[in-house]
Amino acid sequence: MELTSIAIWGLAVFTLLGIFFGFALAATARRFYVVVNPNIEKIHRWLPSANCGACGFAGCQAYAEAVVEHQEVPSNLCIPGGKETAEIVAELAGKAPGLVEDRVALLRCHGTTAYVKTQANYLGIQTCAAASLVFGGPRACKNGCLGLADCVRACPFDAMRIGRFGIVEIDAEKCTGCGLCIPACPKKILELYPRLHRIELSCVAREKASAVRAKCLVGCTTCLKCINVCPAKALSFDDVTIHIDHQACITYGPTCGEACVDICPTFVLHRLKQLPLPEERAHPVEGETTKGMAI
Amino acid sequence: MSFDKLQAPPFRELLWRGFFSENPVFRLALSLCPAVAVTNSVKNGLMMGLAVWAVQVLSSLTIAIFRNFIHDKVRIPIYTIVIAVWVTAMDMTLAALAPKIYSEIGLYIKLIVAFAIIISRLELFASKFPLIPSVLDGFSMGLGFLFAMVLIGAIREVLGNGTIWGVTLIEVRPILFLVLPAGGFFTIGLLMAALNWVEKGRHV
Amino acid sequence: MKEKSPITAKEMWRITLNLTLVCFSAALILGVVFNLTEPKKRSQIAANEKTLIQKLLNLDEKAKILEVRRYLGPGQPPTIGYLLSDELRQYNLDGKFLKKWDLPEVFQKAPTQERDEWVEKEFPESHFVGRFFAAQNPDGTLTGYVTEGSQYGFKSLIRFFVALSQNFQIRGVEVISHEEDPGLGDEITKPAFKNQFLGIRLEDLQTLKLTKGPKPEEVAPEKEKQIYAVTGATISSQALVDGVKQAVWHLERRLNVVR
Repeated sequence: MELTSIAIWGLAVFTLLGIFFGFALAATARRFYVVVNPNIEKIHRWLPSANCGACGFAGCQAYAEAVVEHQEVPSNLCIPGGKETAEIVAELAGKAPGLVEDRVALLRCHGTTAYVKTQANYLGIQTCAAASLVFGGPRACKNGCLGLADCVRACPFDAMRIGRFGIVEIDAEKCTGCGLCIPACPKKILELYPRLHRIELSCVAREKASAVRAKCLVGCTTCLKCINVCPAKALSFDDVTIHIDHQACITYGPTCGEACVDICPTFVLHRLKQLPLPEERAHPVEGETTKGMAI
Repeated sequence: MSFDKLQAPPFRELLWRGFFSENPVFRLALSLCPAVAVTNSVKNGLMMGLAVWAVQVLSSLTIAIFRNFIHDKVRIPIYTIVIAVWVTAMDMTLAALAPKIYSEIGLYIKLIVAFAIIISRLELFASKFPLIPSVLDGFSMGLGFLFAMVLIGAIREVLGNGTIWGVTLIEVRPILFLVLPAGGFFTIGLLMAALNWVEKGRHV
Repeated sequence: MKEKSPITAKEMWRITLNLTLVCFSAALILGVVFNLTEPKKRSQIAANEKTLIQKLLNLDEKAKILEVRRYLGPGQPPTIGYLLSDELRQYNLDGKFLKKWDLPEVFQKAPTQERDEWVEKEFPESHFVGRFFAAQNPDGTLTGYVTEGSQYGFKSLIRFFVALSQNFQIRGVEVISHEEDPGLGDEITKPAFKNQFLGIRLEDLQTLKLTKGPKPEEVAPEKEKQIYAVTGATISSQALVDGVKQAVWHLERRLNVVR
């Protein structure tokens, strides 16, 4: 029958092709074997092989080589691969798992010239490191930003600058989360936040409430109201300062309505890009609600 | 090594991510070529999406069953053969059993062999995970692709041609440009931006 | 020092076997699917052709469609065989009747495909070269003919059906398959072009011309029948005009032979 003969002919041709190419590929793999870093091979095995180029390299092989051979190539560039591939690549390439998470630096102080009291006039070498050696710096708060730009000089991405109000401002778009600014700060008030976060705490809150009140208008008095109000239990207090569990916060989602921000009496806990600015606080009214203070 | 005991993600996440968080077109930006070429109407988008869906699920199933048999050195040719077999079998079956549908989508079915999304799901997922998660992954990825194709098709047909599913909504052709290939890129770009905004808008 | 390859001869065999097995099973699956679906597909095509012929000749359900298939027989000079519903007739190239064979009973009412297989089995050296259809009323009178023709267009073969009434007036032209460019040569399948053939008679064909440009009838009325070419697709249009002419002339000659 005609149809069967077509099918058998196809079967024969295909099988022969299979033998031919199977042997050819095996022979090529054997004859032209190149010793490579076994990790490159392993990583390539875990990439999608779609060669889409979303990582910025010429295909999966090129990315696998780059991620193994160059320390600065991050392990989370494969977009089709997603989170699992990023983790596996990080492990195989010997990169810290922390790199997988996209982070951004944040200044945990909002003690601008308008809010924080000045204690002395500092005329020495204009660096934070030098100024902090002299009685902890010219400002009344010994934990706040000095505004002398040590971190700005440390930043290789031009993401930091001293803003209009005398403290550091960070451009989140330019910040790569490299963390070079963190050791540069003598006050240890720069922190890496996950790039996706919902609330920020703009004070390191290392002092007692009375001491904070005497020195700064925007200091955390560790009243702990926020901890009690948070439905996700994302905030915690370790007897020194307040910590935010961003994972828990993001996971809980927006249904809480940022209750912690609304209840905070000193504006240090705030939504993104909603820092209280000095103009707004020029004539604070006693007992005014926190709402409406944000831009 | 950690991936010897690699855990498949939970089923709910598997189903959800192909549709939204890892949508093949809007998130992974794979298979954009057909997404641009075919989606000048809802009908075309739907037909293509259905065909890709079927091939994706069947190929994921096949590879997941035989994943321990396939030799590493020849895995990519084997994926291609598996996809080609399913595509050809579907092509033949549709031509014989549903000639009406075949005359609509016959043109597109043969294109599926070279789709990046299918081969990347096989390499990334089906070749590493057991049967059920692999099929679910294929199911959700295919569904996500279908959703994207229909959405793009609907937007381009309504705005570019004034019709939906061939039924005239408005007499004029508001933005004729959108039915042309370049309009496909614009539509996809705008939809990607919109999805990014939906996901990240609250935080930025 | 050359590093020794970790792919041993045994490994090579495994790779070869792996790919071969996959290819073999792929071909096996496709072969089975092909065998299951192809007969259905062919009967689909036959059914589609039947409805197309019915549409072209405006036939009702009761009318019978007879298919006449032509075979080229071996020998020098070759002979032509016509497969009618109940017999296979052999003619020489000038149309002189040579011989005939009666079809076995079982094949007389069988579908075309099976009758074709009978010819293939009985006369393995002959091969199928073309066909035409004749429509017959229940009372036995012929109402029209449809012939299949083909002609090289701009890219590849254009296959088409031409439907003719009893007195050789064109009742319709339908393109079955073509590979012309969409938007250009493609337009020959549109009613605007193919309906121009309607009503053309056998004697008109001699002077039938393809015209470009504006309608010349409005400028200077002419006696000759004209077909207006599709703008940008003169070659495809010309091909269809030539093809229709050839097909109709051949049909007329062949009908005279077979009658």
